[in-house]
Amino acid sequence: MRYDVIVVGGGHAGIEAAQAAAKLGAAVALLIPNPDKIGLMPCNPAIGGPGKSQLVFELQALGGVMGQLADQTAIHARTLNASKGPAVQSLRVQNERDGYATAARQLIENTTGIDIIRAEVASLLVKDGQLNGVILSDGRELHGSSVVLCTGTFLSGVVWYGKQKRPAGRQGEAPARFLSGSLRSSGHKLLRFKTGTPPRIRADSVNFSQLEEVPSDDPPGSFSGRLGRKMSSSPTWLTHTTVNTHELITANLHESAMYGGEIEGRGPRYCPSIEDKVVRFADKDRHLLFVEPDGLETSEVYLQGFSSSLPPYLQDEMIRTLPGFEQAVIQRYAYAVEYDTIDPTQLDITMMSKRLPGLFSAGQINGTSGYEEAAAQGLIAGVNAARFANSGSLVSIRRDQGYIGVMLDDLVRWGIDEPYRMLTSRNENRLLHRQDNAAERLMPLGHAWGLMGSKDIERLQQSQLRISAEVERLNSTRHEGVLASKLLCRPAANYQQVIEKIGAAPLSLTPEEKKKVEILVKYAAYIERSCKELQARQEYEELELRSIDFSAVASLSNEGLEMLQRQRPATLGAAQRLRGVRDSDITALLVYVKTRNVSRETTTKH
Amino acid sequence: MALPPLNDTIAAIATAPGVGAVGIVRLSGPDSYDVAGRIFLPKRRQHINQLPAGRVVYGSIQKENAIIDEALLLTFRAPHSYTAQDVIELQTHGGPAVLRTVLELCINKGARLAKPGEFTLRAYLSGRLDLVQAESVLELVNAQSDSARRSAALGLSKALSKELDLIQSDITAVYGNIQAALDYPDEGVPAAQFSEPLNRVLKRIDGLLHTTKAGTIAKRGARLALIGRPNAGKSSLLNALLGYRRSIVSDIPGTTRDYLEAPLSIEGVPVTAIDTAGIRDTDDLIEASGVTAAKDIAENADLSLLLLDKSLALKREDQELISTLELGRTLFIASKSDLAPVWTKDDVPVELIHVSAKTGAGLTLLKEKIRERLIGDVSQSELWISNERHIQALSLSKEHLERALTAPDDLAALDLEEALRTLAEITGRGEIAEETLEHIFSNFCVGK
Repeated sequence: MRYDVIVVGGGHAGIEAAQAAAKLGAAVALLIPNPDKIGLMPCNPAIGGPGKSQLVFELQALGGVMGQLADQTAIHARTLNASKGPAVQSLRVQNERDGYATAARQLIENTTGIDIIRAEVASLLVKDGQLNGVILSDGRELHGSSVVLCTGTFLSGVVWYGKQKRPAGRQGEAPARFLSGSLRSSGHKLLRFKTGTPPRIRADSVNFSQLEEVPSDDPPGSFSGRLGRKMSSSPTWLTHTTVNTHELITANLHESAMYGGEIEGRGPRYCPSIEDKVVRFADKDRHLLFVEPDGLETSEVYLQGFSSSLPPYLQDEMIRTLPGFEQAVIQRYAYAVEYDTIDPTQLDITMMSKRLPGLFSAGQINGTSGYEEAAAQGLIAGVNAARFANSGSLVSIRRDQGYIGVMLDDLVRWGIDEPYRMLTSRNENRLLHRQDNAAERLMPLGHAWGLMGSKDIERLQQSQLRISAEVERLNSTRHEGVLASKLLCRPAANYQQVIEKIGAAPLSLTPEEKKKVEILVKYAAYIERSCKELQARQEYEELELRSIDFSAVASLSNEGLEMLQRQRPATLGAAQRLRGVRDSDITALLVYVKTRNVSRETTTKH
Repeated sequence: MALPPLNDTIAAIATAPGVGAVGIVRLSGPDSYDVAGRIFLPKRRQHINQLPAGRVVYGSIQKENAIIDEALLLTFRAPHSYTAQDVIELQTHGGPAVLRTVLELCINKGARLAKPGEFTLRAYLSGRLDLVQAESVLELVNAQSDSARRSAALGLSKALSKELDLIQSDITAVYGNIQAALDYPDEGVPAAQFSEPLNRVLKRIDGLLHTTKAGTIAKRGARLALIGRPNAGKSSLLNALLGYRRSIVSDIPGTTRDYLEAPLSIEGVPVTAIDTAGIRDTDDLIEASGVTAAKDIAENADLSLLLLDKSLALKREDQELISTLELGRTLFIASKSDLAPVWTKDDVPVELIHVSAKTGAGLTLLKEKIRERLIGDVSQSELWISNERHIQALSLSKEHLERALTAPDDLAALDLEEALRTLAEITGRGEIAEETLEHIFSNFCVGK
């Protein structure tokens, strides 16, 4: 049988890619050695946080499923940065690890058009430079028009416990041994990255009374508006390292694979191991650690902040220096994993390879880190894989449209030299790309792509009408001579206080809508300024460069020409952000494009 | 660095630098007429923004109700102009100081300082130039922006680069701290203390902006006004400074009818001396307006010399001028010191420089004082900012920093990011996101 889209891997990228492609009518095969691993959370059992929650809300607006899976299986939720202004407020939920995987597998099984195939992929099936599917490790061929690689850390994966290493994609799972070679032979450059995960502790060995409890928000937020029934049923906890932990680590650094120099891959700066923290921040006598439950019934807790490449016997000793962990038993040890990634500068912003049309990739294979980052790429790759199979034009999200666009642009433009994590500081338009307005920014795109229904759009429009009516009311109603909007703009004032003075809105608003009204009024001046700055950049952002022969453009600097030819930026906006491209190069491009358009118009007139 | 937008209103001096007979400041863009209307007062009080194309209007350039210069205003309407946008040309008497003031006014009233070659670029993009011309224009634009970059690079002295570096690093530190707390809200990043470090940065920027005047004067010249009652010796002093006869000097009060401008160099500083009509008490001119006129002239000069005739009794106008002129921008001169004095230094509350134009006594001291006042202590320092673009970038980043001081954390962060981006236009240190991350991860222990 021939498929339209073959998705390799069933993690967070693979799930979104498969379900999006299937929703668009493609016949999808999802290949995975063990279907029980679909939707696994191999690192911490949480979704969201700064930069990441915005990705999930954007996915939700585009027709992704991560938000609903997270809500369905949430046991704890907090809105971070709630008091720090509107731009970076971010939802983070704790999930039942097993519940999430089960919900994800059920969703995939219940989506029409997806066949789950238990298989390992050995190589890409390329004939005369054309991608025609994949070859499985048992020698079978599976034919398809598009292939989406979502292999996570499995490409030539090596797992390290201390100085001991063994080939593995994850703890206890075999790596993808052959695919790297296949990618290389189709012209792809690969990078080698490293990441790590902290130990899991048996819950019944932890003395929770010694830990500081972090309760869930009341009421808890959600990505999809539909909360699962276990929400807010569990707290999370805090503990910290002690002087004893630090002494133990310092005395045994030579046992670390990282410090011993055995691991060649680059680790992410934002995922420092506990050894890193102790060495680099020697003046700090304690480091905070987050104790996250794996679920309500599971027996494990996750110890965030305690990644380590020290050997297991030392981890046992280290853990017992932590308050509340004096008797603790490690169930699964911390380990580091090294793996191959595709240098993402070889990808187009559509997530399709520039080297091999029809080949898409998403997630850690593209050098990113994090479930949310993977899912967002997965959706874009899945949509485009379906469109490619259907000979349609490919789509993407621009940098000025949202966090997803920022990530894609960062990846394909700059390339990366460490795993890429989304951070709010990467997004220059973060005041406009808030989690609260993701739907109005992106749902129309999701609708145009065919992932969101007309009903969703209608609901969105009605909600927007209610919001704008209320903003209008605040801008025209006075209380004791002062405009309600001015009252709301006062520091520390909130929407609730204002309507206690001027009366409730005539149309009833949801809590989310009230929040939005508050943000739109309170920060109107800032939002307007950001809009203006964005518009000023827009003209360049949108100017197409796709079909340009850069060598035909007069007066480009040598360095600029080389960079442009290598990166082939799609728009002038993207060209402008390339290293080595000068202002004068941009001027030259601008002039070239505009002249060409003028001379074309002149020709058509004849 | 971002290219400038194409649809806002830009302004620049359109004539070659140096003292010419006529100088032109050109505006292009949708608000050209409005901007011009805010600074140009037509003699016949026409509404500037209702003028059709092809008009030449006589009037004056106004700054806070004072006349800067007489000027002609020429109108062009889109698309029939060089840039195919609405264009206004303001022709004034050529002095660089006047042109600079007119340009500053345009910028204060809503225009943006044009980047090198930007008028030509607009002209080109609007199709005003044909394809053959295009190539050469392009070369010109590139040459200009590249040479501007080179000269910008050269224009930054070591000390200045270092100062800007410090400013940028200080902002990055605060920005990094705020962002670390925002991106890692739970991880014990200490709350960013930004008022103290940002105020320190603001002080540094103010220090640099303070030098801009001196820097600009050293490069472009200063306006030096000679003020005093009729026959106080203004023209004689001007001649003495010039070293030759320029003004018509006589003993009859009011010989200098309007005013005379003379370019000269004082201790290496280019100066345009303005010999004003004497301020005097006449039948049709009440005393107050004489003093007001002098004040207006002094207001538009970089430095004024108030001449007080040592050989005649002080009058009330003299005392009034002494008390109204800005101390920091005025030198008080006891003129005709070769004649028998009728008053002493104790009769005036200011420091006097005794000068005799006739014998030359005190001239050297006066020149030194003029130089000191004009470019002062900064002349010895390398921390000079004289480039309009740099001044604008510094002022703009100052605005962003001031806004950051009162904003909530996330918005303050955006302002700081914008300040860094603005500064990058001078320093070329543009990889803000990467530098910030580096700062965050090397200073805060965050991450899982």
